[in-house]
Amino acid sequence: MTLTEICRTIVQWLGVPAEYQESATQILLAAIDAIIIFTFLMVAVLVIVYAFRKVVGFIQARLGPRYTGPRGIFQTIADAIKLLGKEDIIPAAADRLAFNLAPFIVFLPAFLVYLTIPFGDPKSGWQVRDLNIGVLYLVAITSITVIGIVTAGWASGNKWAVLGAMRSGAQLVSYEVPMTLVVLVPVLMAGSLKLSEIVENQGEWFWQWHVFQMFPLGLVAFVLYFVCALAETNQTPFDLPEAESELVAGYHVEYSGMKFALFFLAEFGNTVAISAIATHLFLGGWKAPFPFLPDTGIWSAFWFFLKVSTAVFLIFWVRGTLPRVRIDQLMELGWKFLLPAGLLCVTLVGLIISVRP
Amino acid sequence: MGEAIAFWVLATIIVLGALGVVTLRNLFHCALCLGLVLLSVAGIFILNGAEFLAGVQILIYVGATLVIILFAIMLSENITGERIQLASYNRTVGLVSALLFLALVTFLALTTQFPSHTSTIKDPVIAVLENVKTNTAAFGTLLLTKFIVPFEFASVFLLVALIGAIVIARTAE
Repeated sequence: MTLTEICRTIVQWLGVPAEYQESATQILLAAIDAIIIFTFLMVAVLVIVYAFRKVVGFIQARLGPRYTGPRGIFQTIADAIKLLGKEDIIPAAADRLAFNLAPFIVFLPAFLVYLTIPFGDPKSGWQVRDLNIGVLYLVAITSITVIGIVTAGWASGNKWAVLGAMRSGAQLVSYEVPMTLVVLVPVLMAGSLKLSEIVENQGEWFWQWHVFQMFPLGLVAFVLYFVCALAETNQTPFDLPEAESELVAGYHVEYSGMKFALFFLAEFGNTVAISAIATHLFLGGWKAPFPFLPDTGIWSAFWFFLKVSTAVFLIFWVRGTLPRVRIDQLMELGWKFLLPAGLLCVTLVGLIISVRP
Repeated sequence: MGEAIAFWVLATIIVLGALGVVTLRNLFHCALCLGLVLLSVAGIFILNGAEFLAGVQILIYVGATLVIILFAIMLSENITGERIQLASYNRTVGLVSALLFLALVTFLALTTQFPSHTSTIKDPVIAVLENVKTNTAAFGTLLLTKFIVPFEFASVFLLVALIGAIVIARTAE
């Protein structure tokens, strides 16, 4: 019995009038989808935080994540209890409504992007909704994050928070431009905005993935995307909001307890989402690297999560190793290098596609 | 049925949000209300099957225009040191122009015959729609064939505005 049939039975059992049954089933299905996405996000963040503490713990010789319980497995729980136990402080000068709203505006896009990201082969039902405008949807939804960050900084009623919000807002807006440009490269190669069709366009062998197509243009686009992704998710070397010692942190300096945790939840959720998008656009999505390996059904999910984990590990590796850049260096890199390089890459790929028969 | 519910919920949010934009005193709250309205309008686009338009609406109006508005409010408050209040002057003129605009929109909506799959009007838009898979593809095809001149004009116009803004910002230094 499929999920749709189960929902239909429940609706009939509830005694909904016949003419409304189809709508009620659809609404119930949408609600179940939302719960599935939310559960996935929570579990992913739980795993990711643990992995993050472990990886960075090993790289930077931090003691906590390696010795809290067996293999440091209680570190995430300890973090969560610490955050829950903290007092929820709202500054006197804050705009209460906007101050409380901001963490949710930041969290919302991190949750909504998973609507169209496949967790495996959509033919086996591993995707919630295969939107026609897939990639455009992802780009559009993630652009809402800036509103939340600016609101958080402004509502705190603190000039350091405002400065931090300006910094983070400028960072996000600047890196969104080259990111949107290089995302066009796989879209051009596949001739579709649908994530499922973009993955289907990539062949069975790993050198047929978009990252190795039109060598070296695919690779250049992937690297540019990865750098922009680091900046978009506030990862080192672009984690200016976390520079509490030299920049008084950033837009979230006045937040404490669970509201502060929501910002981090969104950040880790975005890290997974960015890795998943990179996997689908450049790394062959749910496909196995060789055609003789199984990649249908549950195996498609296995390959997808393996690739996403690798990408996430790469991000944490960079985070544990590199120092952070200054805001002017960050702006110069974004506007003077990434943007022209992205433009050139898209133009060349477009030229090759239009010339090729 | 589901579409009707979605429409009425979105329409209510749009009207209430738009009222918030013009009546709230705190300029930052007005801007946040504007964001809500713009998102709901994207919802209306999706209900009408124009998902590409909805995506672009969010990307440009929420992700770019609204952010610039918020930045402007934040910066001017930082410079003047006090929260900007929304004040209404010239209420009569405002009311008259609002009514005129309402009349114009109503007139256009009632008199225009909108082309659709069922109507008999032969329209290039429909002709393109029948040949391509998605309306995103139709959009792109039309922009680069039939409407290439307005499209290019808009790009040049934006470029001029961009260069102009940079020139003004530089002389102020």
